[in-house]
Amino acid sequence: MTLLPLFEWIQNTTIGTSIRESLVVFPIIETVHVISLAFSIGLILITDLRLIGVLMPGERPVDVTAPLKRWMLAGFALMFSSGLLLFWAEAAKCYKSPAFRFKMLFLLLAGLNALFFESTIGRHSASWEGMIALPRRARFAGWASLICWICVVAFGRWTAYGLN
Amino acid sequence: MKVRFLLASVLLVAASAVPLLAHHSFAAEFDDTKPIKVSGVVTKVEWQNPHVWFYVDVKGDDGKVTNWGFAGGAPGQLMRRGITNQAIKPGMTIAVEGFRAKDGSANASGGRVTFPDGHNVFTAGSEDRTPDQKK
Amino acid sequence: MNVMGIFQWFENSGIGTSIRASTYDFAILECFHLLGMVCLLGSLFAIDLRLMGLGMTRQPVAKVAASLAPVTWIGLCTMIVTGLLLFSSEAMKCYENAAFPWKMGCLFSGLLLYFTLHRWVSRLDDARIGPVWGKVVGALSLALWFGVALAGRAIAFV
Repeated sequence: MTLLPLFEWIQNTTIGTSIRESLVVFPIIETVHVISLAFSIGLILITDLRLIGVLMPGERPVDVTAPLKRWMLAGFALMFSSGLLLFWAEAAKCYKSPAFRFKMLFLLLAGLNALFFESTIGRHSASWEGMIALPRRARFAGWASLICWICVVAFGRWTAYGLN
Repeated sequence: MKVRFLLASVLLVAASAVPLLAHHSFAAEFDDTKPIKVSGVVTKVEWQNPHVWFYVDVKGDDGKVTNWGFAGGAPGQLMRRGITNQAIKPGMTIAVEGFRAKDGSANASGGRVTFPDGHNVFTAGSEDRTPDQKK
Repeated sequence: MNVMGIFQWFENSGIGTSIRASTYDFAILECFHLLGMVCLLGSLFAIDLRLMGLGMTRQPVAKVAASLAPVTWIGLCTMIVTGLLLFSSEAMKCYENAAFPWKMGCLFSGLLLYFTLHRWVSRLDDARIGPVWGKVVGALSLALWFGVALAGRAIAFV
């Protein structure tokens, strides 16, 4: 079963088409996407570096993450909404692009990793006072997050080369 | 239970990517050592971001007709040069100058388009020039 | 000073020509350029937020800046190296592009700020920074570096 007709339909809706054929709207959306991903994934990078133990080892992970959370979420909101609009305009092309599929795969993995961490071992993280080397599962979550987000960025950039 | 669901969804997304790897082509890059100049009838126009594409039926020396795809700039870039989405239409006969795609496919950048009345427009994207602009 | 001559020298360089001729080099360099930007903008965002009294306020400015400096350095070095290589492969396109001077203007201003005022303020004790300097330097730094990113993106669209 191919989902291509569905994605072609999405792409050809009025909104999708007008974004795709726009003079300034598409460039603006793309710019918002790139810049918001830079600082939001950059902030995740900081929290991941704490989890794996290389950054701010004296601080509790929650003290690194919590103060930056609202900025991270704002960045994410911009990144996902602009990403959704870009996808809406080019849904069929994205569907046909292997790079895009890998990007979505790693995005999914990054999200699942975060969910898994937050709902299990992350709940105890407030007690990790003065711990330089964190529990193994926390370090694993940090590494997994780093790798997934790096792949999201790289495959995202690569998608532009496959989309004619 | 959670782990099994996670594993299943990962495998599903990964599996769906595999068949497409065979069709992947890297046609978006153009070779500035391979200029091209052809003329023919426009068959299709996609006036969209991130690149405008127009397709031209070109008759080769052997009489065989090849449909060439040409990539130009973004609609906004072209508009700023006075080129609207009415400039190139299917059925028109045009001459196109550009650079061939690196993967050898029937694609090229379409930097300059010349119309039957002789006037021409600069349709290149920011990453490309027409052959006479090189160096 | 023959500016066009400088751009042409980069364009005609061996490395520039080889990247231009390669199918994948440019794309790979761009990926690393983007990853470098994530490191640079992420770390500077956190430091400049702190300078402006936001974000990791539990820690002194100097501590936040010192901890994140290695990330900024890695990002900056990656971007400069990949940037020079990317530039070499399309120097004349950059020469003719209206957004490129803006990008370079913001970049050189950002670097100048980073190695002078920014470095000085982010090493001071919190008490000595005062209510104004931190906010001014932090805001200026963010404006310039996001300006580089914005102008950089604009290159593809002008």
